[in-house]
Amino acid sequence: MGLTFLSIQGLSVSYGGKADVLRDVSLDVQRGEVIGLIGPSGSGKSTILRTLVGLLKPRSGTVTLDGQVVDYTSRASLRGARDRFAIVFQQYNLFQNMTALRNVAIAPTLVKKRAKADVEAEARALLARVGLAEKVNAYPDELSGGQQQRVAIARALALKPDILLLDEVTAALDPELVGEVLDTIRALQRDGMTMLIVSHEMAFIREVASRVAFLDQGLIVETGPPAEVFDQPRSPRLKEFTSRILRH
Amino acid sequence: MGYDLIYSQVTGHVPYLLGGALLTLQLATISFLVGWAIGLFNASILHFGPHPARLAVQGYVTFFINTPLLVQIFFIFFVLPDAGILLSPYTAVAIGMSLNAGAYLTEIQRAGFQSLRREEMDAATAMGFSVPQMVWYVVMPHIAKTLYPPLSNQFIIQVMTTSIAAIFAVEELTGRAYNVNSLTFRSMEVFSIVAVIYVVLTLACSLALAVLGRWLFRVKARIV
Amino acid sequence: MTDRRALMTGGAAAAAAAAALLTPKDASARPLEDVLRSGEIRVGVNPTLPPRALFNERNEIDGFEPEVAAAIARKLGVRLTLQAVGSPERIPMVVSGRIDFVMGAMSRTSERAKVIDYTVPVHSENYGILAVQGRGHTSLQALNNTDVTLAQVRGTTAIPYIQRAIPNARVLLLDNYPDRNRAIAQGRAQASFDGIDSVRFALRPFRQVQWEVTATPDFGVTYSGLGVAKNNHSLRNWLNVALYELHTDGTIESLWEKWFDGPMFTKVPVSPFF
Repeated sequence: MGLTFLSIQGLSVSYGGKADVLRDVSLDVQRGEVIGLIGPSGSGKSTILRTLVGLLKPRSGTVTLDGQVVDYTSRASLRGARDRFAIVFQQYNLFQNMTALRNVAIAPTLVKKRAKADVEAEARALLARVGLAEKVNAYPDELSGGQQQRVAIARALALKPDILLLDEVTAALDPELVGEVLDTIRALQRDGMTMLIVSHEMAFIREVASRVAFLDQGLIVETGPPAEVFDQPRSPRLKEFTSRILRH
Repeated sequence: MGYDLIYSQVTGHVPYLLGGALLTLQLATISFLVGWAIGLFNASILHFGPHPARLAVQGYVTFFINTPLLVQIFFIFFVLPDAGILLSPYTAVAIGMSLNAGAYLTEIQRAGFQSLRREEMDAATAMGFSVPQMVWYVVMPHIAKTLYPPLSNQFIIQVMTTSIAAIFAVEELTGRAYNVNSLTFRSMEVFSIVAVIYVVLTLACSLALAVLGRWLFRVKARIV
Repeated sequence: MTDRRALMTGGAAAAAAAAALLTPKDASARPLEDVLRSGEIRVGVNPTLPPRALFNERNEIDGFEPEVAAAIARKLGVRLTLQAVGSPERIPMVVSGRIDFVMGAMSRTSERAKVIDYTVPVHSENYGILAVQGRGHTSLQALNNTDVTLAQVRGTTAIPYIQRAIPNARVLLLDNYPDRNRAIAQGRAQASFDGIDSVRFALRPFRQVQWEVTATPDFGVTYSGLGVAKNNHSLRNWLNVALYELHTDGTIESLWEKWFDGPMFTKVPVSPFF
């Protein structure tokens, strides 16, 4: 492991004048690492991802990526942040009026002003990589949930992000469709993609994550390798959480 | 002493009336497109813009919805010249109708913004879309699709509204109907022909809009 | 998802309305005896053509035509009901029997007479040029030029004349005479060729402009009668007799002078034969 790739220091986020959703969260991520974010609902896991990608404004704290501080204060500087992070949402969030191909190709052409022909060739390759070569011209409402989520992953990859953020990407899927999406993520892990994964699929997190962070009430309570966190929880809250999860 | 319909005095004028129908269509299309652009811009401001800009848009909408179109065009046609702005009849009517349609289309499209899928907007934001890009690529197709019926209704309303142009020296269908009527006194014949032209015109327009909607936005409208 | 059904319904409704208009079942003009029996005569006047007819300060219809109509009603011994009509609907109103006869710029043309019957003339209609003073727009030749725009009122008798006699001038068709006058005052048009009978009255609000009115009597004078439904001979014959009396006893001329600030440009020749 080399230098710290992503460093989150003292990040606090609040919205609507309520108490902080994230409180003084710090997390270091090395290049190629896969971080599993676990914790009960409302613990702030998704908030971390949404803040990194600029959907929420941090109240305080700094995010440093590859030695550069990410500036979340202005729209212009946010562009920079969004170049580095790409997010995949629980509800896929595909553009309903666009084909799979266009969903994948639109941001690189529009936001990064790249040549349309190049981007489309890449987009086809990405869709093939997630096993949807046949579906390039399908619209979201013609695809299953699993297929839509794989298009969403291809769309995120098309931005060539440094870090891929996966926000409960299997939570909205029918159980029989979860496998295909998890396979796609496994393949990304093998390719060395740095990822932050929020998930309730504990077995999957244990399998792919290099480290796991446990959040509760906006705080990172414990971090460590999966085996440590799942098998030897130190804090009482994590103990309670794992025992509840493992009973299922 | 019933009235005998005699169309022969009028049939020679039908090509002239059809020429007016073309002008009607042109005026309706221009005012709809400009009004739609105004409406989209305004609705974007109402959704994304700062407070003073929102107030300005609301003022515009309130003013144009609560005054008659006739009065608005009268102002542009007859009052602006006293301020040194002399617009041609066609331009004055096109501007008046566009501004008026802009107010109604702001209201219609505001509803479209309110029904936006939050998730698609999040995705666009996260991918770095600018506000105009978001409006054009995400909001607009959504509006066009979900609001297709009221939008095409507004277009049909524009077609009907063009008849007001006759008052301001524009020789569209209704204006030409008046002209033929005063020449022949065959009111019933003239206006029944004009009614048929309007019906054909609006049915043709709604058919064209349905085809266009299916082609552009995958709006699955049933076509006749 | 265009609401095709609603549109079809709308179209059907429009067609039904048109059909209703075209087959006026109970629409028939009333012969003289029906008018007498009802004790009421219904007369259409056009209050957008002052001082032929206008709304006075008490918001009642007043003017030259209502006073002539009142004189007619007195002779007939019935109550007068005035109905305000505009140019497009005045003929259908008479044909369908909703009014018994119509006044208001009913100048006779052979084309119009195919649709409606006329009584003997009530007054003459005199044509001339209305322009801004000192620009030389004082003859039809001067107007017959592509640089000249004539402001005219849509649906008036002058238009076919202009197409025939001043074909090179451009024509701007407006809705009413005040708008026409305003258009000339604002420079949208240079002149107007139209009736000049009521021009003194109409130009009152435009005092800031120096107007020039040139009569063109050589162009021909038209006559306005009362418009009666086709073949309503009993009513038309009686009206002819009544008008003869109103002409010979000076009623019509004195009412004209009262409302138009001067005598008729061309006197109506009165004949005992109809």
